[in-house]
Order: sequence, then C-alpha cells, then structure tokens
Amino acid sequence: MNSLKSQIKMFETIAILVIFFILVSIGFVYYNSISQSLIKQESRERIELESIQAAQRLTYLPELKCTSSIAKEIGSCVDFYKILAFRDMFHSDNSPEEYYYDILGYSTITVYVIYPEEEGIVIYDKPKPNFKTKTAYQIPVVLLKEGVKNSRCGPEFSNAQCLYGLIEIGAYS
Amino acid sequence: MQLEVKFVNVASMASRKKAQVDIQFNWIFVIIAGAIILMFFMTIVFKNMGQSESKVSRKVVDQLVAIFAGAEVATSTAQEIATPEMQLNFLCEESGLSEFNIQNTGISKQIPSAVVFAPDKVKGRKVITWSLDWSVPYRVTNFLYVTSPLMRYYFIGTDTFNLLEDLPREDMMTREISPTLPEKILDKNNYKVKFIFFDANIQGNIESKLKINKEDVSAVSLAPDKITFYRYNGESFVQDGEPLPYLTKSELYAAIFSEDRAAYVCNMKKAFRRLEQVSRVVGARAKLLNTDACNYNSAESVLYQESINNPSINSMQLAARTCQISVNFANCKYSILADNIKKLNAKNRQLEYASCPLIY
Repeated sequence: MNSLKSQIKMFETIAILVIFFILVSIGFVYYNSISQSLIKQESRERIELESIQAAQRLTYLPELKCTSSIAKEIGSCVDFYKILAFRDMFHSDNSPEEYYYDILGYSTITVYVIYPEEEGIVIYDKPKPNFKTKTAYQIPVVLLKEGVKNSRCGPEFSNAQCLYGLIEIGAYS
Repeated sequence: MQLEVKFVNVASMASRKKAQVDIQFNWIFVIIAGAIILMFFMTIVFKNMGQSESKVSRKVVDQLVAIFAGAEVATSTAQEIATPEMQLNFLCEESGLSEFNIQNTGISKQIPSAVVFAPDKVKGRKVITWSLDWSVPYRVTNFLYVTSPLMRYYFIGTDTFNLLEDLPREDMMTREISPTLPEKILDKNNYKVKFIFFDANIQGNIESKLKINKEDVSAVSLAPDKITFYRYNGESFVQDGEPLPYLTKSELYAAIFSEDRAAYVCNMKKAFRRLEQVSRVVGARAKLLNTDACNYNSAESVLYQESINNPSINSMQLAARTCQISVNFANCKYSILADNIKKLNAKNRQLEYASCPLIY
C-alpha cells in the first residue's frame, strides 16, 4: 500500500516535469518562429538600405554628376553626355562591370528622360542570378545637355538644355 | 527482581528508516532535476547573449557602412560616432583584400572601392570620421579618414601647409603641437601614437616613456614635394620605404591618418583605380561634345589625346592605371599626372573663355 502510494507520488512528480518541459518547448517554438520572422524582416530592410545606399552613391558618382560649378547650382544634376559615355563603357571590350559591381551591386539602372523628350537609357545592368523579387526606386533628376546652341538651362546657363528625368534603380533580392 | 520486557516495534523502525532514505532520495532527485532545468535555461540565456552581441556588432558594422557610403558621396565635417566599447580593425592589402572588422566577433565588411585612411585598429567608444574630396583636377572620389580620440598625434615643426586649421576638433583628434620634438615622450594612456613632422629630417634617438608596443608608434614627414613614412624600432625612427610624391592636400591628410606606408599605398591604388574610370568617362564625354566651335581634340587635351600603344585609352587613364598596378608605386609617374593636371586646367580655361562646355 505504501509502495503504491510512493509510486503514485513519483509518477505525479515526473508528470509535472514532463508537462513543464512541454510548456517550455511550446514557448521556445513560438519564440523561434517570431525570431525567424524578425530576421526575415531585418534582411528585407538591409536589402532596402543597400539599394538606397547604391542610389545615393549613384546620384553623386563623379562619372555622372554635372561639372562642379553647375552641380552646385542645380541639386540633383546629372550630365547627359556622361550618361551616354557611362553606358557605352559597358559595351566596349574593356568593360568595367566587375569594378562597378563593387559600387552598384546587383541592380539595373535606367535613366528615363521624361521632358521634353522621352527616352529610356539603361546604363548599368547586372541582375542577380535566380532573383526572387525586383524592387524599383526612382530618383528625380535634372539632366544637363551641354553644347546645345540657342538653349538655356535656367537664367545662369546658356548653350545648355535642361531635361527632366528619373533615375530608376532596380534592386534584386 | 522484576524483569522488564520492552517490546520493540520492528515494523515502525523499518518504516522510519525507509522514510529517512526516501526523503534523502527525494532531495537528490530535486537537486538533479533542478540542475537540469537550470542548465537548460542557462544554455538558452548564454546562446541569446551571444546572438545579441553579434546583433549589436552587425548593427555597428551596418551603421559604419552607411557612414562610409555617405562619405563617398559628400564631403563632411568631422563626425563622432558613438559605439559600444570595441576595437575596429582596418585592413588593406596588396593582394586586393580591403575590409574592416570588429575584433573578436568574426563580423567583417569588405570595402573594395571605398578609400579609407585609418590606423590598423580604432579602439574605444567613439569613432571619428571625416571626408575630403580628391580632385585631380576633376573630382574623382572622396577620401574618408577614420581615427579615435584615444589615439594621440604629435605635430612637430611649422605647419606651412595649413593642415592644422582643417583638422577635426581637439576633443575628436587628440593632438599636441610643438616646434621641436620633445626630449622625452611621456605615456598619456594612448593605445597608439603618431608623429607628424613638417618638412624635417628625423634623426637621433628618442627617449620614450611610452608603455605601448613599438608597432603602435609611427611617424610621417611632410615635405613640399614628398611624403616619407617611418617606423619606430624602440629607440629611433627608421625610414619605411621610398618617399612618395603627392598631388593634393587630401593626400597629406591621408598620410597623417594612415597606419603606415603600405596602407597608404593600398588605398591610393584604390583612388587611382577610380581615377582611371572617371577619366574614361570624362574623356568619352569630351569626344561627344567635340565640335568645330568647341574643340577638345588638341595637343593640350590629355583626355582626348589617345596614347600611341592603346588608342582606346587616354593619357590620364594610362597614368592612373600605371600607378594602380605598380608595386609599391615604383613605376607611378606623378610627374605625368601633375603635368596632365596643368594641361587640363589650361584647356578648361580656354574652353571657358570660348563659352564652350567645360571638361570639368
């Protein structure tokens, strides 16, 4: 009788421990699933941040930026002929694709001229292999086309035409 | 005589003994089970602690990368970044590896294109960053300088270059200015010390009371035409490699913030790589702009004049590429670069006079 009582007590203790560990495991699984979703969100935010950094670098690249004195007057100013020259570089024998990958990463960069002409110029195209999503960021810019006779870009700059456009950065993830 | 008979209840004795054993076993069981539960939770706590530290380190690295990206695009006044107590290591090697990492975390970030001049280790709770543009003569890139307030800089001589006025504040960049080298260098609890000599020959032994490794003491001499790096052997400064010419004030600051000659050369090569690419675009733009009225194709225009050996590359590109691939800058022709810069300046003035689009 006593031995039965003690066995029951022992089973009771073990059962309490088992239930306790089951509850802890459930809590742990729940915590892990929340952590995983937080990690995924952080990863998405990091990709967005990297894309914004690439966009920021792009608009200030000396390869695209308007010449110094003009750049100071016009905010987001890119030189139209520099854009064409930059694009042509990647189609030449000595393509600097590997070099610009370090700066621009996996992305596709397109310059859209929207006024007064309409034109789309892809200046950099390096999509990520097996990418799942592509997110596009657009930055409004002024495209300065110098050497255009009988034109003005604002009151200060003669023989130059201002075009209005967007730089679109397509980021891959 | 009375015989006393005491009856002993054997069953109850056995039961008491059993109870005593039972209680002891119960406590042993409680201790073992408690220890297992405690170990389980301690494991979770320590694992999470490790993950949190990695997370904080990762955040610091991301923040620094964002700052480096910002510095690449715009020059700025010196910034002070608060960080947890840590050591940042900067590495730039001839092999092409360029990165920074946080000591003892295994977290690192490659910076293959950013031109960052920093000591090999930046310690403490603050990181100081500052950026200046490098224009030769058109803007090529920004130089980012990194240091710590726990490092001490000694400026010896007369600052004929006017470098001191533009440096970060003294609380950001701890420094001492002296017309001559002090007779004794006292230890002021700095983990690294750098001496900057303005146009002086560094000779003689230095009595040092510094309690740091000799590798953490270095010097650089800035002359009107060259920069010379020195290592410290415990007693005196020994020249480290050949002197290097320079083109702009930004390179003088780079020499001040660099760990040593090797790190300076490594980062300057990144700058020259950039110069090559920018020169390519600027040259191609000049060709597109070329008209009868605005002529870029002239003997003075180094961006348009193609080299004889390789018609697709202009003179500025070639000079930059030579510096980039030259081991220890042995074949880097600064004289050609300086000459090209003069020619471009002259050409730009001509174009401005003729109301033509400028080269830069």
